[in-house]
Amino acid sequence: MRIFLCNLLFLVSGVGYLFAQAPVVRAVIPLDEAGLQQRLTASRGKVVVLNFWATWCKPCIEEFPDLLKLRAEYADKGMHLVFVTIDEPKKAEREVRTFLRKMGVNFETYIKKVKDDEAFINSVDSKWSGAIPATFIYNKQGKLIHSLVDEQTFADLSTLVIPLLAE
Amino acid sequence: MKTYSIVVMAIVLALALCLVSFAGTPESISPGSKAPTFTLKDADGAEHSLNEFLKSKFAVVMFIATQCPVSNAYNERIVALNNEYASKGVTFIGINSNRQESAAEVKEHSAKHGFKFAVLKDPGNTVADAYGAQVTPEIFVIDSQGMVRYHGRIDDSQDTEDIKSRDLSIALDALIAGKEAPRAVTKAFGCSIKRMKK
Repeated sequence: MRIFLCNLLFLVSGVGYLFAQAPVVRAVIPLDEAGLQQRLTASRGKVVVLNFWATWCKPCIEEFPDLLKLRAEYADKGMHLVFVTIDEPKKAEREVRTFLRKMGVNFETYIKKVKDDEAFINSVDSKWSGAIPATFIYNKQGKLIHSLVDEQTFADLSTLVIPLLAE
Repeated sequence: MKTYSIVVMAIVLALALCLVSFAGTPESISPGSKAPTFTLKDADGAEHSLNEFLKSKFAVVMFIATQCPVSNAYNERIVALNNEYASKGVTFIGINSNRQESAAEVKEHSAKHGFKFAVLKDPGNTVADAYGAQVTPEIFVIDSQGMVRYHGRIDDSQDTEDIKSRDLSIALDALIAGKEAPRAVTKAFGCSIKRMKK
């Protein structure tokens, strides 16, 4: 009995240790056109960096640490980073959450869930082709200022974000 | 003084509008515009020009990739479309503009997936730039006069179970019947074309 209790205690403490080490990944929230606009409206007064990515998109994965570095540097200066994955919700939620946990993301992120991709793409920027990675930067008034396709670096993004934070 | 202020405001507005555009990405060719001509080599080194494909009723120029999961999700559908429309006077052409995908890789990819159409390598992505292609897969349908008649996606879902609109087929069927494509421009999510760094 004593051995059993010892083993149980060992197991519980081990699991507890693992949970303490792994960052808590919040639910990945489904997002459509209306939800995106609400999210942007809620961030008025902040500079918003909106990034579209997917687990299958290699350059998206490569730029992810730079975006997290940007958040670490500028979040307390008035910048919101909003990640939206375009992975298929029914197939990839586990992969998305696994990746976010690996990257240490412990804030709310979103997964595109729309009936019409084209309408969603156009609601972000009518000039956007739908190619990812894509990053959109809004000023504090909620106006879209920069539309960027392809992998970005911390330095490039900082150059664009800093003047908007100073406005 | 009033005129001067209006001019200054117009310049500021124009600059602001310029800011909201994709940095370094060329505008895509719209339906109704002349398709840029090109001459590119296939994987065996043979040269092909757009003009040779315009001997068909319609040429389907497809910007595709070997490594992009979205483009690869369409491999079987592209083969099926080519088989279906070849007898209707439509020629399919693949163009690979990604800097990291070599001609040898393109050749192997074509053989592996049973592509019976030419896949041309676009070194320096000059053709992708001329067409303003941004994503793989991305389609331009060109008529025998060299005019773009459709630009956009193959269909609306990379997952075959979720397809609701087979846009390329709809466009081709209308064009072959002598009508305009009901939707001449469509968009879909995909991998960005990996251009040469300038």
